[in-house]
Amino acid sequence: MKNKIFTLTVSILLWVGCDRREIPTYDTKIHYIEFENATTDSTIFTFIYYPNDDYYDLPVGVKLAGDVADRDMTYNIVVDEELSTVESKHYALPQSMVFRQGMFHDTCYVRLNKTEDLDSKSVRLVLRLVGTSDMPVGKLENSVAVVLFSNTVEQPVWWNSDVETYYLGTYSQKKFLLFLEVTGADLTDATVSEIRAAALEFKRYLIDHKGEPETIEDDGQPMTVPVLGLEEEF
Amino acid sequence: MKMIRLFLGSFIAMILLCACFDDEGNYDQSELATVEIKVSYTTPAIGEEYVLRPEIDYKGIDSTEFAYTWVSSIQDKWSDTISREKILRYTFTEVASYNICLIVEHEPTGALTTWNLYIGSTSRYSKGWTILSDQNNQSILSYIRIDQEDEKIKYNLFKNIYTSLRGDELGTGPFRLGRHFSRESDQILVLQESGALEINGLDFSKAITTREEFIGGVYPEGFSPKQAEYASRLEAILGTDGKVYTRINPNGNFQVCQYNTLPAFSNARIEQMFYCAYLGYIYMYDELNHKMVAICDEPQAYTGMVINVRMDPDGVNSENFTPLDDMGEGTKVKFIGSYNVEGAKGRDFVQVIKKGMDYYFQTYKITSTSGSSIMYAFDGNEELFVGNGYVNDDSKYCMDGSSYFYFTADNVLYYWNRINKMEPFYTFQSKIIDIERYANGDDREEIAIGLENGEFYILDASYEAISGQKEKVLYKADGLGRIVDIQYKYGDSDTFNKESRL
Repeated sequence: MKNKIFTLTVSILLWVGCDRREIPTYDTKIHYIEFENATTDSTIFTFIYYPNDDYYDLPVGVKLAGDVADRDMTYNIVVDEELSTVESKHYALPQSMVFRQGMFHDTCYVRLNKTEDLDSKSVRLVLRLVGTSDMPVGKLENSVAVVLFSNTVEQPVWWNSDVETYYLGTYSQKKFLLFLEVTGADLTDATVSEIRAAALEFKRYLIDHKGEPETIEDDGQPMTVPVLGLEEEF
Repeated sequence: MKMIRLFLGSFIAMILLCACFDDEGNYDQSELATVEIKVSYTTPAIGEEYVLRPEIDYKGIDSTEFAYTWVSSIQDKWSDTISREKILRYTFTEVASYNICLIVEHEPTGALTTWNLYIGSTSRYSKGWTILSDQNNQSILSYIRIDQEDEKIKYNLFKNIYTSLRGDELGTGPFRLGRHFSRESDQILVLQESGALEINGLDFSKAITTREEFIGGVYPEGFSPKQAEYASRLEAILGTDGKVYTRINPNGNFQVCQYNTLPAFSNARIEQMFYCAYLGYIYMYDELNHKMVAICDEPQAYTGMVINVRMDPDGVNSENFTPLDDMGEGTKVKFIGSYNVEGAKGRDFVQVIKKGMDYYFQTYKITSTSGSSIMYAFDGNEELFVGNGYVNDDSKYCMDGSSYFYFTADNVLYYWNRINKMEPFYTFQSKIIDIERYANGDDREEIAIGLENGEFYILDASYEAISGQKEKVLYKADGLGRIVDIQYKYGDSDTFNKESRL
């Protein structure tokens, strides 16, 4: 009996010693879908920078949580009508939402339509990810995206105190609109050289159109900018 | 029980078998043949052979049994073997920090002894003369360093230094140099048909192309650079079309701002620009509107502001003085110079202008008020230039404050004491292309001359040399190609601001 037990034990040990296993990898075959930005990071958009366009395809970044997919995966975004103030005329969601295989990040384009009412108000579009059989929704805080858009003018962040003091002067809606029309410049993250260049281009325009109604502020004063240069023509 | 015995028997047999292995390992405790290394060293200068001669104590071992390897790393970027000789002879080409390591190997035993040196290379090209020449249409940048040996000044020529150090060609179709300073070093602007660019003044490497210095990395339409001036904060570049583009340097460093693509003047044709130390603006001649104009450099609050020049209504000028705000159709400004007399009201200017076929010599003063877009000229005086009849459109001019004025006519360099004496200073074998004066207020007062035939001269411009009491030629080089421009290299902004006024 002892011999049998001994032989059996040695045989088991030898069998276990010969067992060859692949190193296991973590692959749940589950691919979660999330927005790139957390819900707290709202997107603010204005058509002011796109005066000649009737719509704008807003890129909304999405990302995959989990292992990379070996095939195209379908996901779904819906509009949260309870939290949104948009009407159906204001937007259009893409026909299909496919997260391409082999990618960790992809982009969904939501069409924002420039309607007349946006000239006087801002609307809120709340997008919510909805799970599909391919892609369940990942983190809760990245499952909702908020987009605020309008065709109204607000003082841009880049028109800060430095820009006001040295380049473009006091902000007014009329000045900003004319500046955009003349230069087309969005000075977000612009270098000082770029800001100066845009301001001088605008100053050149103000000189060339001095006295014309479009260069007169609403209070009747001529529109001016403090950027230095071109003084010989004043 | 049998089985146990069988296993035990096998186990013992295996152990006994291991005992039969023949161990051929070497367990001799031989002494490592290391050496003692001592090296005296100096700071390496880029572009020059750096020699390290190690003194090695071989401790009685035959020195032929040793091998040597010198390894160097540069700022942890790369590491390479730079020599396998006992004496290191190596030429560094970059201003950087190096970790140089000598490894001495006793080949029979493999014993290693190492010696390390952390050292920074320096540039000895900071100051001197730069010469731009054209050799078979190739741009050749040469450099002359001024060394002191036994209290004597020695001029060392580094012909075609760019290619010597960098290995490639600078470009083609050269025509002008420009100088650009920071507080620490300088850059040399090379204007050439194949594309203008700035060269690092320390190691002569390419710093940036002028095209990249514009917003968007492209030239404005029709722009081709002709001249650039770098003031303390304002930097301006002039195109062959007479348009000037500016940028404002926020901190005096290189490549921290870009030229905008809107001309500084919409209705002007700037023919030439002028800047000198502490001028406070870049001064220009607008040939289209035949007037002098400036763009403010300092104070900082007004950098970039256009300053118009007007004749002071209360000033007294000679009757024939050509007003600077209306110099007349067709008038050309051939030379602008300026100096400051301490305590005097206004800054002194000297100009050579050409009206019709004649050349006139103007002197005047200018006062400018901080923040004003107008500055006033007064005390204007104008006379037919003493060199009229000698000079032509290719003539070059330079001056020594308010005393000597120099000008060229073909192959002759003239001097004029601005009172009553004008005569040839030196006659060369070839046409003079460019002249420039340099003085350090101590032991050097010289004029450099670049000739069309590739000769370069440095003449003594001291009073003793001018009056014939001393030999005039201090240095001569030749074989440089067709010289197109020469320029003194001040090395940094402080030196420029100090010495260019002497």
